[in-house]
Amino acid sequence: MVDHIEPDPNPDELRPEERPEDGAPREESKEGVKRDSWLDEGYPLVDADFVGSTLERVLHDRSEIESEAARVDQFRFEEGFLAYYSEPKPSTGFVEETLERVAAERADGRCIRTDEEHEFHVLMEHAHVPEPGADYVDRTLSAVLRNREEQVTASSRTLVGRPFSLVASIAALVLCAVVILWKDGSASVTAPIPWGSLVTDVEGPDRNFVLPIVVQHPITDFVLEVREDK
Amino acid sequence: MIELDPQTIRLAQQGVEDACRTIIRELHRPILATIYRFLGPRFRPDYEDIAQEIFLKLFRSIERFDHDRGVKFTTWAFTFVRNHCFDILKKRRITSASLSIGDEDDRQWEFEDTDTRKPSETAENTELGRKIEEAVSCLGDEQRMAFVLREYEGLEYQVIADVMNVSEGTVKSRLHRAKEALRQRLAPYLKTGT
Repeated sequence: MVDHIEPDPNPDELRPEERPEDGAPREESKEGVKRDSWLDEGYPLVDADFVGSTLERVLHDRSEIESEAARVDQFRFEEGFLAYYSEPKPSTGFVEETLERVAAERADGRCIRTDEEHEFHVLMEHAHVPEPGADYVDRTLSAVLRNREEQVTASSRTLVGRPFSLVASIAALVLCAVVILWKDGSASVTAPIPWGSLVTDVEGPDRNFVLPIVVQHPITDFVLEVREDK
Repeated sequence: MIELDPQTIRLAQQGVEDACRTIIRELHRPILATIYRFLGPRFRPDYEDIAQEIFLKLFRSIERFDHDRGVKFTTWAFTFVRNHCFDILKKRRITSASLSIGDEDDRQWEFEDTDTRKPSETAENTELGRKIEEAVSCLGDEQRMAFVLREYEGLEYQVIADVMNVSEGTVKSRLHRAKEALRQRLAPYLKTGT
């Protein structure tokens, strides 16, 4: 018997996450626990040694089974003792009755199968399969070819159009970035190399070494023109 | 344990009536006896019907029996007995629970059934026979099935294990427990005592 039942809590007393949106209190059980509160709960607390204790129980159970199994023949009932609990003789017609039931069920099964087969044959006989027209093959072939042409056109458009525009825009972006960095002069990579440094950095050239290229004038300036494709 | 000729089973699979009759004739006694002892007195009026239902189920599936898999036909047949009996008990428990019928009602069933026995049923009318019956009925379902199959039908441990879909060790353990429980219950009637 329940001595005392907690009254339904006032929705205003609930914490914000517990308060229902429509202002109505959530349905609660008699124990005062919200029925859907389990949704907000985390995993149940499990004993730190859960795996160990379970394994211990499993092993204990197994050893118990093994020890009991070993003692299975330890005790035997006296000869003929259990025979006092004898079963009655089956009815005289049990075998034939059972056989009749089995045969009847099998016959029903055959009837069902035969009926189904018959229905299927009737269905197939009545099924009207239309004869194809004389130009069926030509019409189908032309439709297939037309369809294929359309597919090829569509795919070539895709191949030429989209990737090309993508590559062009990436190239344009890279070019713009190079120009901006060049003009700023902040990027060491693009700064002009002072003439002569190439030669002084080389240690001990061979005496008879002949430079293959002779530069008449040092490169001091470089102008990059960017043309926009129309 | 009875073992049926593979040719008979093959013919029964083809629907040959004589082969079906042979199977029923060979298996009806052990199947009836197992049902009788396993289900106990409360199902006594229906135990032949239950056996027939098992045979119907068995013949519905007989085409699926494959002798080459190494399973004996008798073992296969006893799995039907075991499954059907467990289903019956489960259904009865569900019905009992839904109707709020407790153990008290079950006991009444047994008394009613015992009282309606015919005087000609001599063996089971003996005091000892009834005591053994009561003691066996008190065993758990799994222990009772193992005990009946082993002690009354003489099935091998491995066959019982196959029928009950457990290990041989588990069967032996259940048998040991069953025999211990019966030994204690039937101690006054045993010459060796406890």
